[in-house]
Amino acid sequence: MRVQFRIWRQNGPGDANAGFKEYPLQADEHMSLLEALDLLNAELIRKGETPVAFEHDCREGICGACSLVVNGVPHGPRSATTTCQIHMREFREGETIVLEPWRARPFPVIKDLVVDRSAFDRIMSAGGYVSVRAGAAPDANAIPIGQPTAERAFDFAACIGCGACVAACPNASAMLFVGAKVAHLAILPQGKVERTRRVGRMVERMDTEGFGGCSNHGECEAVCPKSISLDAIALLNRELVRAAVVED
Amino acid sequence: MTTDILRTTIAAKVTMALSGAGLVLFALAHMAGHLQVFGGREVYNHYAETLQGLGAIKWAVRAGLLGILLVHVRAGVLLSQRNRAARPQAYALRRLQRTTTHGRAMLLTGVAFLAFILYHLAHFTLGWVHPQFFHAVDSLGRPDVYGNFVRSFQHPLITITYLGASLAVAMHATHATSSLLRTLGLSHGRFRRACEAAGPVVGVALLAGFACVPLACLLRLIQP
Ligand code: SF4
Ligand code: FES
Repeated sequence: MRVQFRIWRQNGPGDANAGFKEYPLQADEHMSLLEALDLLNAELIRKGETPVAFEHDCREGICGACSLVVNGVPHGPRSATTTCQIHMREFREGETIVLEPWRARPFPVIKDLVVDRSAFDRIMSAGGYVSVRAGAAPDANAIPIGQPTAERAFDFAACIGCGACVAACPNASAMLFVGAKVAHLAILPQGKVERTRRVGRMVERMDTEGFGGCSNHGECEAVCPKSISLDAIALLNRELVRAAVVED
Repeated sequence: MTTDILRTTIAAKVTMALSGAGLVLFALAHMAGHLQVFGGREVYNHYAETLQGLGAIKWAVRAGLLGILLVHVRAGVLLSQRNRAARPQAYALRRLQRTTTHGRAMLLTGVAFLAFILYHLAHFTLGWVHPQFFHAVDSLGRPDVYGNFVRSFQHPLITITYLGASLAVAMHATHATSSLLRTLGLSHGRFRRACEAAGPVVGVALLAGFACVPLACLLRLIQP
């Protein structure tokens, strides 16, 4: 199938000549979108041009590295699916496919479609951990946890830190991500110990990084590849209110 | 620790939510009060006189409302500035999937409504605009609020202004109600659906309750 890629090209942060470039490509409908980009890059290299920089790692929807706004939607047309799991058959013959990077002040573009998401790492270092020795895998069973609690915590733990929630939010808010982390840990006994300290530190870091606030548009939930529920944001708000009134 | 928490964006959102909840409750009470116009001149003028007779309580409520409104507007301005700054470069193409027109128009409906409040106060509380209706008294010598009300709304332009404001406040409250329930941490799990339904219910109630009064006067279903 023939498609026309319209790709954001940017030669490093603050490149004044950044903009869209068009690339026609003869692809196969069974290719993944990222394989089509590999093919395009092979052609560009053959022609002596600079290949398109984009992020990817596992290519199986579990690592959170891939990050493209495909035709105006972070992670593309399929719900609960990462960019790397999109196939060319999602697109029409001759379609123009627009690829843009995540756009948010705390996620500056490094090159082309690659953005710097280390703001998320700094939020995690601020409190997204447990300081107790959690032991090896079998030790997880030392504290019995009811099935509903385990399931609920796991739903939040499914977040892969891709940042699509920020990319989708009209305010570039990171509250779905932070909410998923805070809720996941606050629900489990191992995480409860530090819950008061954790939420304040993570939210302060989130603010310092320059993310916007939540206006409850729900765009984050719509694009999240792991279907993290807006409940995460309600629980984050609740944890913060709790931390304001409760002493650790 | 606690003082820093109070400086976070979430704390600002909670301020927004609590003050907003107060304003929504006031809007509902205000609407319910004005539906008494359907009870006729006697009922309505009595209601108006009772409110006016509250003296110190009336002033306390007014001061409280003004305070809440100022807090709400201030938090709203700060948060929306922050939100804008968080995305300096807009997308060339962005297909929104979930959000609503009223959700996107919060700032617009908020500002429009703020302007309306000034006009509304000048109209019914201060009598600065349309004073021709303002100074009448009824047969008991009370201010004829009912007459002012009904005669005002027989003018299409005044009625249209109020209908526009009813729409703005209904849109604003629709998003606000569901939104504030999440900000206050209530909208999750099995409560989520009810919280998300609460917004449209409040919005439709406000729209119907506010719009029917001027419309009834314009269509002469209520006579002065
Ligand atoms: S909440 Fe969803 S969209 Fe946001 S970082 Fe986690 S997995 Fe990605
Ligand atoms: S590349 Fe790992 S999730 Fe897409």
